[in-house]
Amino acid sequence: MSSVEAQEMINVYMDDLFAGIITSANPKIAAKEYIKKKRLSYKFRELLKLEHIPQEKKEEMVSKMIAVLPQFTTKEAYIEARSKILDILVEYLADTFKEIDKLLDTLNPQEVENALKIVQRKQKHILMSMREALADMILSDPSEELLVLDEALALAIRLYNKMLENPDNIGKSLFLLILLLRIIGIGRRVFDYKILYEDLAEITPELEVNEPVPGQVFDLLEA
Amino acid sequence: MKSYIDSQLLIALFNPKDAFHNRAKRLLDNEDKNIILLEAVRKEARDTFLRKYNQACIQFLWIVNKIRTSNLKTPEETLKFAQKELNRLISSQRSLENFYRFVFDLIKDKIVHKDRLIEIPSFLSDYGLNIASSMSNLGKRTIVVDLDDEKLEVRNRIYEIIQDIQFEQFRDLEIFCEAAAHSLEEEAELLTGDKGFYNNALLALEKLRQEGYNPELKVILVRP
Repeated sequence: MSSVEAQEMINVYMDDLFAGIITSANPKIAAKEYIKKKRLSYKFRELLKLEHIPQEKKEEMVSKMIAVLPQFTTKEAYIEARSKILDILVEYLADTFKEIDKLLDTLNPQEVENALKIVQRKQKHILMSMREALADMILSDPSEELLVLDEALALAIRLYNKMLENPDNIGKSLFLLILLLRIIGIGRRVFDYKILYEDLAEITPELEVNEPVPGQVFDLLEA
Repeated sequence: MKSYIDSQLLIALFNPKDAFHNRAKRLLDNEDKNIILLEAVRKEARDTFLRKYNQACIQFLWIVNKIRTSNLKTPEETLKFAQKELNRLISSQRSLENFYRFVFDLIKDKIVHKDRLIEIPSFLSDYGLNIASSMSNLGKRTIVVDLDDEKLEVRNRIYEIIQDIQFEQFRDLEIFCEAAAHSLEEEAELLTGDKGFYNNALLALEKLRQEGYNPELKVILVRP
């Protein structure tokens, strides 16, 4: 069944999605990209450990984070969920978080911005690759679940684009955090895929699309 | 006076076959009415649009799947096949006719190129997101309002007071709270075609008054 394939695909990309989740929850984490470049590995060992979190621990963290996602999809509920997610991250990664602030002291604002862009580009390409795999599954065995998952991935990619275009859009990482966790939650059957419609309805205005002209959309649908 | 419309009336605007379509159009064309679209209403419209759009897309993706594995050789043959399938879909589910025609128009140029069929799922997803995003604004026909921080706080207080009232959906509760928050300082009417929503909104207004809140909101039940 195609949804089982989608579930497997989500599991295959789990490590990459995890990286996207923690960076969306706390964008400062992206600064770790500069540790090796600046030859500071000896100083920031905890931060480097982020790349080698044992699978079991990762699974536990993700399960806890999924459990605090809201059933009602409002911005306030998302903000509340992010705060709980940050508490979970602090519970598991307290030492890492302490090091981030020390690392940030050694970087200038441009370097911090560059680090964030590197991570966002990486994440965007991972999601694009997931969409490619999904397109094939959708054509072979079309289902509403796969299509709405693809829409959620497409929305996440475009939120990354928005942040890459303008660093002031960093606030959109809140929506990325929710989308990425929701996708994993659906893959694990914690949520019914239909909740994604409500997330999409809440988040799509963040794309600030001006095309097609709204009047045309109206007429087109009416015709 | 400001007139808020509920999501049922907004969605009826998109569907000529909806019993409320003409009534909703007349409301919007009435220059004496200052029609306001609340964020909760726009959100429901986006949600409904995406669900219906996706239902139509899935049916067409099955057609694309058939084309992919078929022996159809020329673009003309492929289009003829797709057109026949479109007619079959319409006759099997009239309520989605507009959406079927809409999706067919979107992809008819793509389905004739077998090497481009793989692009169709992503194309449809991206297109759906674009429309959902642009549905936040219906151009000159309506005014869109959002809650600022102060009104957001008021809305949350209203929500706490009336949350026990059994609105059919959470979204209905959101719509009422938003309309009530906007009309604490300014007289307004909330137009709905949904009897259940109407009755619950009246109960909610009564409860708010008991708690010392007096939104200047008149709830009006619109007939088709």
